[in-house]
Amino acid sequence: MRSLSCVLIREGPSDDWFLPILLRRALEELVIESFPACREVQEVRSLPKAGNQSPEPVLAALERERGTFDVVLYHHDGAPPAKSGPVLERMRQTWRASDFTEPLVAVVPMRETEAWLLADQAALVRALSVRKLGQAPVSGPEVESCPDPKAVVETLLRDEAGINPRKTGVLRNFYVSVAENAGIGELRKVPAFRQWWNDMIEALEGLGYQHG
Amino acid sequence: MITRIEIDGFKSFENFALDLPPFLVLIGTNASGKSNLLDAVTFVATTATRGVDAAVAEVRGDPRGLFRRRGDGNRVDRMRFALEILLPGRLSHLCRYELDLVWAEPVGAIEGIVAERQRIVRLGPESSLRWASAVGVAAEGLRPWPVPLKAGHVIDLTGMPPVIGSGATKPEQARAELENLANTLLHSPSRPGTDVERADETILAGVWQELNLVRFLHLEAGALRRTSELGGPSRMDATGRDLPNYLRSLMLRTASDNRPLGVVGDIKMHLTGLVREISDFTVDKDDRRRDVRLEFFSPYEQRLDAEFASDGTLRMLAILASLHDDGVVAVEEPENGVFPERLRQLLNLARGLVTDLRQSVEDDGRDNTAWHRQAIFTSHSPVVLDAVPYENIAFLDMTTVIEDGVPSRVSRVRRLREDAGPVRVAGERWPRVTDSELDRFRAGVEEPV
Ligand SMILES: Nc1ncnc2c1ncn2[C@@H]1O[C@H](COP(=O)(O)OP(=O)(O)OP(=O)(O)O)[C@@H](O)[C@H]1O
Ligand SMILES: [Mg+2]
Repeated sequence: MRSLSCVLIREGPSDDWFLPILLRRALEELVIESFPACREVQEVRSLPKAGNQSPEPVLAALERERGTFDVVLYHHDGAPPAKSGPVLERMRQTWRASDFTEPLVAVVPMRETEAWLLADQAALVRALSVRKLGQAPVSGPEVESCPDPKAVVETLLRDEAGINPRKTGVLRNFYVSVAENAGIGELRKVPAFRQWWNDMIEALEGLGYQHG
Repeated sequence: MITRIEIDGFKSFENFALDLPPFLVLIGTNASGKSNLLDAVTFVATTATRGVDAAVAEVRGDPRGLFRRRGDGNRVDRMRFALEILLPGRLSHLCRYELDLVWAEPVGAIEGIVAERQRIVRLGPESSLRWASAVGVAAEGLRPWPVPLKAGHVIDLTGMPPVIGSGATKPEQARAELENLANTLLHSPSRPGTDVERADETILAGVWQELNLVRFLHLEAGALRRTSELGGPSRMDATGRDLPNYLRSLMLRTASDNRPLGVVGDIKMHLTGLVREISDFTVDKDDRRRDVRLEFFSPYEQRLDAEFASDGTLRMLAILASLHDDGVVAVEEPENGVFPERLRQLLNLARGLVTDLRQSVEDDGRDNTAWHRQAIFTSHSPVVLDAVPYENIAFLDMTTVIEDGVPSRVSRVRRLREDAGPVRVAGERWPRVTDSELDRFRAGVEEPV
């Protein structure tokens, strides 16, 4: 019985509020759609100790997990591209040069991870417990062109639900709620997310998941 | 002693299997299935000894709600359980009790849970070897079964609702008879009959008694404070009700000339060691009030009624009492109301009180024919990771299984990775839990958030 286990190297602590849940839910849909022989998707395990920028601690953290995962998800925000491009490339090279055989798949939201929080308006409505959004923010594929998604999230909380985003725990719990609710179909309309989705399919094909 | 549990279709379990050492602490996040696992053990044990209705009445949930709900909202129609059991006498053959329950909606009759299959399979000697190596117990202390019987021999109990329905009419009567049978057969196997028949009876009685001894504790302070009625139940219920009567019955069962309190003497000593404000307690029978009550003594105040004893004291006493009794005890969150250092001591004590198969029969100090003692705790306390060897810990969390394109969240269980030990172990469905997850548990956070 084939099972899928992924570990996540993420950029910052707040990404842990959102990415592990969202990516696990996305992988469930991906596996059902493209790899029916796979029978299980395990929790996506974030490795906070790995840091993110320099390859050494990342490799050291993965060394401690050796044998427990099938795929490494490497998250890095895509803005500005001039900075993120080289970081990604350095990580990819280090990984290829290491003796790990598991694939490394990049998770690169355009600009910031928060952009993906905004993609599904229905999920926002549910997480904020409002009937509808008074002022609809950007959504769907347009979220990638939103200059400051974090600010949009804070405005949503304050103006739509009357919740102060500066109070401890508010942002975290809002992120978790959206991650649990966001429609994966909506996210797949976002190009950067679709890129990850396709890379993931390729990686799993490389591992023979289509054969069970 | 229950050496292995398999569950499928009950609450959050899908093809779930866990080998149980004599002492096990279940740790894991909230809603990961720890209590469900204890529910499953007590549910099977109660169904087997007192029938489905009694089991449903005692478990959390309604009859239909016990069947696993899949991600699409549909419920499965079948629950399968298997318990493997090591009988007293250190016999190396395990017995496997299997119970399949289905949801039935017959025409012209009321819907409900029906036992579709029930049987006991005698496993070969390799089963106990496998178990011993899986849980890190040396199997040297085990002896072969005295009667030469084929492994795989099946005692089919299908059609007799609970195990006890072996011909007897009234459940209470059957219960008493079987308890008798269990004792005489296991302790003096000299009854007439062919070897095979006798072995079957012995196994049946043994399995019944082992399941009858299963106790579950989810203690509540209010229940622990209450007096017992004279002539009331001699067993403490899950909330801790009838603790006074339970202590009395332990005392009467284990008293000797030189030690009139029996194991209650041990319990006293340990309670005083663990709970410093208490120096002694008595269990008093009051014939005028027709009740049985606990009275504590402290070094400063003279007497302290149970109503005024602290929650932690009463909880500790109830857990200690249960650990000094035969069979399996499952305790929910023993850390409640207990200081971390006391919890550490309690965990160590529990580990020493369960059956130790590593010791030779002589060193064990207990009657060779006595029932094994086993303890299963659930806990959220990081103290567990420091006080308990990793081989005595199991880690529960949720995973997603996909059945016919439908994702469902189900419980999974993993052992912990020993220092520089292997990640993958034969017979284990998932890799072991690594330090990154344990660090999180230690820090008291569920997710890395
Ligand atoms: N019939 C069922 N089908 C599917 N899942 C169920 C069923 N019944 C209960 N559950 C799941 O079991 C979970 C509760 O598990 P359980 O009570 O064992 O948690 P726990 O590990 O003891 O948590 P805590 O640490 O909070 O006590 C619920 O969240 C629910 O999702
Ligand atoms: Mg619980």
